[in-house]
Amino acid sequence: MLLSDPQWLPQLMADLKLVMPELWLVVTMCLVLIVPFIRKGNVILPVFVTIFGLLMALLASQGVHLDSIDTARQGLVFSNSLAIDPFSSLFKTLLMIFAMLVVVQWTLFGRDNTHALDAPDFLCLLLGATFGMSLMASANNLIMIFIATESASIPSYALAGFRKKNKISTEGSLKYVLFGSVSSALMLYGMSMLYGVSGSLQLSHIAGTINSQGMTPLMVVGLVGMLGGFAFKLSAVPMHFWCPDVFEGAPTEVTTFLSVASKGAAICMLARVIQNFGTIVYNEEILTGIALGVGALGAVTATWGNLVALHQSNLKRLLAYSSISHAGYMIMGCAVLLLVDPKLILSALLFYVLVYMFMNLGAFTVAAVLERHLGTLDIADYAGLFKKSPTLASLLIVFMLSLFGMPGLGGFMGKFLLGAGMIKAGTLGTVLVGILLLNTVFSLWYYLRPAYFMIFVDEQEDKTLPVIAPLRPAIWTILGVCCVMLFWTGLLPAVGTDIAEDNGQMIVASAKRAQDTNSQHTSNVNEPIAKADAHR
Amino acid sequence: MFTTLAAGTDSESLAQVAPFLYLIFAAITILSAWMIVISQNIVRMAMYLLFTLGGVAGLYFLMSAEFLAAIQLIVYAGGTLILIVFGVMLTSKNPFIRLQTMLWERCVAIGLGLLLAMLMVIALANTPIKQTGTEAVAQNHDIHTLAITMLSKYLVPFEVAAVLLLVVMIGAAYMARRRA
Amino acid sequence: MSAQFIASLIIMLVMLHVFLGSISYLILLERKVASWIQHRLGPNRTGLPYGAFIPGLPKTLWGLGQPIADAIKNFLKEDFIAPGADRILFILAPGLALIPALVGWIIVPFGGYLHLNGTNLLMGGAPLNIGIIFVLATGSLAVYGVVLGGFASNNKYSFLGGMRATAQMVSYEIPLGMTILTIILMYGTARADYLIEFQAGGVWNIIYQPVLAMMFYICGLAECNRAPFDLAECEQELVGGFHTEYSSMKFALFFMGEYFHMITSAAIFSLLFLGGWDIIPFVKLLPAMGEQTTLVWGIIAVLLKIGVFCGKITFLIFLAMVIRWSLPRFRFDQLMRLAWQSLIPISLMMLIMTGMVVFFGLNRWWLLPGNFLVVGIVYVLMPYLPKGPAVNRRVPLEGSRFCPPVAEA
Repeated sequence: MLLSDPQWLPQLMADLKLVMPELWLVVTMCLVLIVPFIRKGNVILPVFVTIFGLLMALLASQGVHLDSIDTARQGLVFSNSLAIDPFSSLFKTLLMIFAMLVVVQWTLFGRDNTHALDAPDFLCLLLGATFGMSLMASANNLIMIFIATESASIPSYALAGFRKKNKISTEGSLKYVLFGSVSSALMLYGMSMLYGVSGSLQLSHIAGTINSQGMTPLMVVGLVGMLGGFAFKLSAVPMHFWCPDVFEGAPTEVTTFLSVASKGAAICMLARVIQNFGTIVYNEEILTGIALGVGALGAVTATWGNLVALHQSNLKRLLAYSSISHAGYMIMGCAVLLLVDPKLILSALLFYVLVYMFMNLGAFTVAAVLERHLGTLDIADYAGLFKKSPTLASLLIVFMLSLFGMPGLGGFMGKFLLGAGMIKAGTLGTVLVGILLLNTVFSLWYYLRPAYFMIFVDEQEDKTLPVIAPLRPAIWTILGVCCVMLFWTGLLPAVGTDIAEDNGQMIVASAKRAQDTNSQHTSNVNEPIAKADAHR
Repeated sequence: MFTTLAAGTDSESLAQVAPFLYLIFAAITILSAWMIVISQNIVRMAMYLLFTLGGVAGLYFLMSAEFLAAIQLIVYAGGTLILIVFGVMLTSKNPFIRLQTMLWERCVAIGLGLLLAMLMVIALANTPIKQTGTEAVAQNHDIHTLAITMLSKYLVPFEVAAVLLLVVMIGAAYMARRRA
Repeated sequence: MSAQFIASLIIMLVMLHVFLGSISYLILLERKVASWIQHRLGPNRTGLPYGAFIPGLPKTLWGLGQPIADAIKNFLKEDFIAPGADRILFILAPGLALIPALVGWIIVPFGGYLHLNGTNLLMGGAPLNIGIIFVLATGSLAVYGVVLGGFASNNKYSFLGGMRATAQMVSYEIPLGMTILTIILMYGTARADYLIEFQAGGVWNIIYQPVLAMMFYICGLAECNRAPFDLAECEQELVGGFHTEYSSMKFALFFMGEYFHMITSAAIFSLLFLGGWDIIPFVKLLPAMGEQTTLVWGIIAVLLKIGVFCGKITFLIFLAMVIRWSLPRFRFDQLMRLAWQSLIPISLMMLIMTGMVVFFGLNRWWLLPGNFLVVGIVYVLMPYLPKGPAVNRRVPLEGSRFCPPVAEA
């Protein structure tokens, strides 16, 4: 058995090195919980501990290249539970940076609305959600997918309702919980079907079952159920209802976090599942079918998000629907992963997440500033803002234009790379690119609405805007960094695309391996590890 | 030490009564699940849910998944459900409050439910189900094997679940706490 | 039908009726114990012949006829259901209180093993692989009878009783599970028959782990809703608690449920800590599992084992009765604090201690100092632990005997 295997402990240690980012997050979580025992009511100390922990996790997630990974084990650690590959590592890097920025944003804005003694709770929940998301990016079997999704979701529910006294916040949180539990149930149901059909939890084995048995109806039901669970995290269309309410009610920094990190992690998970199918399944018809299904989900999501966003007058709700449509674009990108060179799409997705992170961070930071200083999120109330504080207004316009995809800004490069990858996927790809372009044109209308009000509508007599007090330098720093990053990725995309291309590789257990382990599935629980040792 | 001597589960007798017991447990599960849906009193719903969970646990027992059955009873019936009942009792002002549904809601629900059931039946009927040998199940159903598997092959999910529970506890404590 | 099936069926049917019958006599014993402790007589008038004259037999046989008379009385009473009650739940609740307790003890191997024609026949219910975990599972269902009974009565006292019972049983299940887990960890098995075989003829577990045994006993009392943990039905505050509205046989079913829980938990205690059917520690008197015996000696040994087991159960129940009539009841916050702030941490520490002993492969005798070490650590650490919120502070009732008159400021 396992414990009598002399290779057990060294193997475990070797595997542990690859999950250091997650370990750092857990350790930080515990430290943040202990801090109040040392300095009660101090906010800055837990914030520093959190940022330190995130920094360590960031450093730990570096240096994962395909050549540095033991090729016999292919970076599939802990009996194929997790896949540590360049793709997930780059996502983790982005996630840690983003989490740090969100913590800074919270220290600047949200802290005032939070009781000093609640600060460790907030940070701990944030770290917990980050932990779940970073696992989502590497999850490689059904159990890990489910449990990582839950550990990203459940802290998010609490974070969304963090303003306990606020009715909108509570409502959003409750909707989030209800939708989340239903979609979790759906996902589990689908997974149970997949397990029942294939007799295995490994994605590669399930894909192998498609090869051996064909696409059985039960498998279709299972896949649709699982996709339903993913759709919730991505706020794709039949499961998107929670998104605007949560984004409106939650504290702004939580909204920022959820809008980027949770969707990015879910996209990584979806990409990994699809990549497994794409690598192992060789029946073109089935692949096209899956691509069509996922592509349709993406197209509907993008279109629906944009259409509803046209009617929004609240800045945060507008951004929420905009994030739905962006998720739709990324899902469309995932869909063609099956049909073209995966590296192209994977790197495009990573680049998109990178850019999207800065766009949304900037836009939500401006929204937070406006909410705090003007006391309103209604776009019509921002009339004449451009004259009063031109810098802030122009920054918001820059972020909005980037979200739209203005050439010269990062958002354009993201969409361009994604479209360039998609167009290679034959008719389906062309149709998807067409939908992407059409949506982009539509979205211009609502992305420019704030700009229209701020620049061209004069301040009304009865509703004068209060003067915006001078902002703290830290806020300007965040906004500046976001703005610079957008121009940089838009005008000189080479650096970003190079990084993304270097890391656009995903590890998939090969079909042969899958079959080998599948046949001996019941006989030896420790098969993969033992096999790896034999390889050495 | 005693493995060679001990009388295990009496599989011969179990095989004789299993179909009969299966029908009983399945009937309990389905009927109570149905009653949960049509019942209007929330505490009664909880009680029917208890029977559903118990029936499922019985099915697990029949499948020789004894540990899973016990866990089903401990965690769901003994833990989760009792908290639900507790919460319902503490929050509802009138203990016999009725949950009324509109006629159209009922119609939509029945329609959707029938559609889903048909979908499942069709899917099941058209899928060849791979039979797993009973020997494999019988081999692995002692808790020793289960424990070893859980701490080797499924180590990461196991530990992540622990972290998840910690985070959930923090979140719940925050939500429940009152600050002046 | 295999031989094992028939043997199990016979044993279970016999033991079930023995225990069901003995419950009414346990109630008599309880009343007798109460009267001895409180220095009064107790029921002593209703003799067995019920007034009929039988030569050579005293007319009042220490009240031995009382239980039968009580049972008949219960059957004949009016079965009243309050108009506001939820009828279905009201009728269901007593059953739900009794059935889990009846199911739980099928894993108890009363008679050990009988070696017959080369096969080992278990003289007990079922040799489940999960063994005592099954008891935990059924035990966790026991709370429903109380809760639903309290709820369905539509009575504030009943409701409060039900709520208290829920909180109490959910809380005490945790340390109970921990202690059982510790034993499983120690012997590496959860099967009840193996656990007894490990102890029989050798060291009983209570000698290795006295503190653990004490904790298990406390949790067992709490799970049975026995005094000093009987807050669900404390008659001074809640009339009758969850069974206030119940009468006739429904009330009797609740009572039987409580006593059956006591029997089950006593049986589990004796198989975990007192070596089950073993007569005295360190001395091997009865044949162990798989030991070759003659048929007659085998059957005698089985009967002896069942007798010893029942004797231990009776002793443990007697102990519970003595505790009930000598200790005052806990206050609710004290009850919760006992579970969450002492029993759970200590049982966790016990688990870690036992785990270390097992991991390093030490002799089991190290568990004995380990037990006391844990207690010592707790004793030292206690003052430094963060204090919980002060609830139920003593309200200064001016002039009462707890609070002398406050001087005018």
